[in-house]
Amino acid sequence: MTDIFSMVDEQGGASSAPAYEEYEQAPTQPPTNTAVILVTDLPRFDLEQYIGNYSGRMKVTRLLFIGNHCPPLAVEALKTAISIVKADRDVRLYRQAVQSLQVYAANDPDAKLDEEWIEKTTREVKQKTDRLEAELKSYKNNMIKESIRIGHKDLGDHFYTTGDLASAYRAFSRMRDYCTSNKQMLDMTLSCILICIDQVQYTSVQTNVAKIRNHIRSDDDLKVHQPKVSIAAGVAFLASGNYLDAARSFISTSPAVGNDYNTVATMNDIAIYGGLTALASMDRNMLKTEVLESTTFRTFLELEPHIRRALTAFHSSRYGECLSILEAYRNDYLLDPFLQKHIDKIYEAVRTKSIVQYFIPFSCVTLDAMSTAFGVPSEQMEKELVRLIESGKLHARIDTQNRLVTSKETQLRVEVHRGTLAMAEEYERAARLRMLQINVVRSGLEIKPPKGQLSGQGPMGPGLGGRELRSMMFGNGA
Amino acid sequence: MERFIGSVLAFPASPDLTPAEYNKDLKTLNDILSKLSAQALVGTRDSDPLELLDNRANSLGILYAFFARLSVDKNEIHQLWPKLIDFFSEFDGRQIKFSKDQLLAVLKVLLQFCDACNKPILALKPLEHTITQLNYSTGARTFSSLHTKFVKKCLDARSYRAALPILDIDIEEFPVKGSDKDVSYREVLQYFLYGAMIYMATKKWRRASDFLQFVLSYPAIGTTVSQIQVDAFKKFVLVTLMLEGRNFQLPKTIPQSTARACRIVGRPYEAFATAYATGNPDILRREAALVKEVFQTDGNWGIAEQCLENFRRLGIKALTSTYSTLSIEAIASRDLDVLGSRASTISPEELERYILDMIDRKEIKASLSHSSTNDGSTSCMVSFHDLPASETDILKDLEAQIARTVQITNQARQLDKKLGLSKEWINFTSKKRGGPGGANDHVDQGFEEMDDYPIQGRGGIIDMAAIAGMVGGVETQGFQDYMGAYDPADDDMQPDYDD
Repeated sequence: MTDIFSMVDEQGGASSAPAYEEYEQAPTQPPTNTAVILVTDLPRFDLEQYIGNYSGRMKVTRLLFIGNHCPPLAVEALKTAISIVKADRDVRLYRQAVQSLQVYAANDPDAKLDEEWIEKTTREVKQKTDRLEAELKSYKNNMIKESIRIGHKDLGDHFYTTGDLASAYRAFSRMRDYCTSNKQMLDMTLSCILICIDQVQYTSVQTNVAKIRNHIRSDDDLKVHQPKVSIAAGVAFLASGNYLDAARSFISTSPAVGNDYNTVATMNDIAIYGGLTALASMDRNMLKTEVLESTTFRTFLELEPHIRRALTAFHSSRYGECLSILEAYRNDYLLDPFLQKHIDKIYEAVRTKSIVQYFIPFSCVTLDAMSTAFGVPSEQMEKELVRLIESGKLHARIDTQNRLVTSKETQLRVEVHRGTLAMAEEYERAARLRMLQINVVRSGLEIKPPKGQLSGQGPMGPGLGGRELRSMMFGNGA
Repeated sequence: MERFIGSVLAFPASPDLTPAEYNKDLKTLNDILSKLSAQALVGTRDSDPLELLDNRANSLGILYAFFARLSVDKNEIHQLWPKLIDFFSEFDGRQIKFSKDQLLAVLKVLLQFCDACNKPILALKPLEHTITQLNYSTGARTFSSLHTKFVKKCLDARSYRAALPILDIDIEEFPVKGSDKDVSYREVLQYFLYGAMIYMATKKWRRASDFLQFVLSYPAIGTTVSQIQVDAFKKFVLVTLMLEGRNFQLPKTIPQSTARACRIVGRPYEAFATAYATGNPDILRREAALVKEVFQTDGNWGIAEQCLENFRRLGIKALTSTYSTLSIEAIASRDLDVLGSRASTISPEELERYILDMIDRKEIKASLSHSSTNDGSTSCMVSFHDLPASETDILKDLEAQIARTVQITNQARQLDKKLGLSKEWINFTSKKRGGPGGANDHVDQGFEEMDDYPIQGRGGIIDMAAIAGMVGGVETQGFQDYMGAYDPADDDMQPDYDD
């Protein structure tokens, strides 16, 4: 049993390596690249306070992320990142951070690579790695399970802080064979999840989440680990674009989590992620029963009142208000490493849903009324409506002469009749085809390979146009 | 000579004979006629049997007279052809039952003559009538080699509508194995391909698609693919575009091997379909220019042009579900015309005529209204409405469809019965019961069985004919033909089958 697990983990670790490289390289691209989203306005949060909420690698990850995507805050963010990275002795991230900083502030003393430090640190890290590996080897010779486990754990922690995530993952997953208690197993899997999140390997996160659920056995375990597992699962769902499941994961997170999991997300983040994914995926009733009336999620929402306001606005059909609240915070969300790629899709989904929901009670609305309700010029509104109608999301028609949007009359009875007719015709056609095929076989008229023609078929009627027919065709075996 | 005329005129003895009596008398007459000398049949200048006898009432006698004259001197066709055409357009199929060989021989001469003087249109009427009369009880529903000749002649003569009476009758049966040597899978495939081409020429896309689909899903031994199928695939892609518009998909009935072979050869066609499906006029224009040459060599550019023409119709049709009113100018500004040169915008007047044409064809339901604006120019608004759905019409269609469905279900039941009585099935089931090794034996012997097929099938043919109440007639005739061609030497080699 354990063998299988460790094998899977090895593979997971190995396959994640290239992706990790990618993750490393992505931020080193020059920020002038058009593919990189740049936020030129200041976000609403205060960088220092914001970053203070996080701990561990997430702090650096977020700082670097802001540094690469938000020029006004870049210098401050990168300088903070460099100091943390130096303390952690993570040479790779240090190079990255310095490179990014050079783009914004080439003359800053921090923007020069401290070669001496790099050399020294690389040596130290190498020494420590060697020492830990030697220790592990001696533990292995002594065959004491607990010592071997601790040996792996030390090595994993060491790799993790110095930024060798692939090796860290490998070290942690090797611990699995030496875990003797359920608690150790849980800790180990949580470490794996953390590394996977850092590596942007969300499928591995999902498999690890599934594993950890098997190990939660007592209520105490549940209380301690449920929030972390929900958050990890939520982040993974969010990354795969499955907003409904992401929303449900975040909403089910117990508020007891506090700052326990701020290596991934703070309580504020959970409120934002949960709120946005819920807005994007749930209809008004679901929003009310599952989100606004949820006792656990209320605690989170109190931390981010604007999300609460947006949810309430959507629920009470004030779509314009909801959209403008979201729009106001767009910059903040664009600087979140988990949300950035999805924010456009989420906003789009919320918008589409708003328009569809807005239109439900009407049979006819003026275009101008709609454009004021959604706060866009009517030409843009029209284009948006056309797109929604063409993709089949909105059952309506536009009257360009009177500038009206009218709902389509659906004649259910006629539709059913037409559907039946089409289905019956299809059946008839299929039946005829099948019977013809059977009759062909019954008469021995199947297409034969060329050799068979000599013995099987009689001579074709000479003349009678047979010649040109024959020259046109050849029963060629493919 | 007199005996000949006399016995022919004496048949049938009375107009209300039972089928059995009729068959018996006919057989006797046939025997008499086949023993007469050619001289007696040709007659003399004063008493020409062709003048004395009636095409319809004395079909058998006339046939023998023609047969005799043509076997004496083939060149007589130059004088006889008008009479022959009359005869083939009128004769009574019941009388020909026992003399099909003679009939086909005479017809062959006539067809050769039509070919020689390059007038395929002459052959249409005789062929059409012969097809309906040849297999008297089932008529045109049983496939014959004449079917293929007929549609080919219609194509040659470019008289597509003339082919429809025969094409519209669904083929239900194929000649029993070995009974018609002129029928091979090629004739069948050709018939359906040519038929589809005629339907395409007459713009009956649904029928054309059905015919092509049959060609594509034609059973094959092993993974053999016929070139005819590849040609059919090319046309099928384009016909599907005409029918379904933007969503092109290969039907699931097509065997994997056929689909693969067709895909390789027909790649330009798939690319064209994909470009069409994007709905983007620029992509489609570019793709159309790329494939034009290939399509022209294949002779398919004409229908591709129709697809491109249709693109605008589809575009306008799509507008009806998005807008309820739209100005002509707004429609004209949309880039829907892929046939013309790049970005050539159609004038509003022209488009107005075009839309009126679409309304006339009941493709869309819309009304146009002109209004003059303040600065003196007029603008035209198009209001789209839902296509009317009259409940009575739909119910009528539904009832007709129910009747057809019941009919096809009955056919299926009959076919199932026939299959259940076939030798192959009986062999298969008895072998299956015969012990654990049985199933394997069956597989091993698969190919040998194929070789001796006609011999094993002999019993099956008689069984089937007896069950279906068709004793005598077609099946037995075919069976005798087969026996004639059968070499008894083979029989000695396989005493097992000697019954």
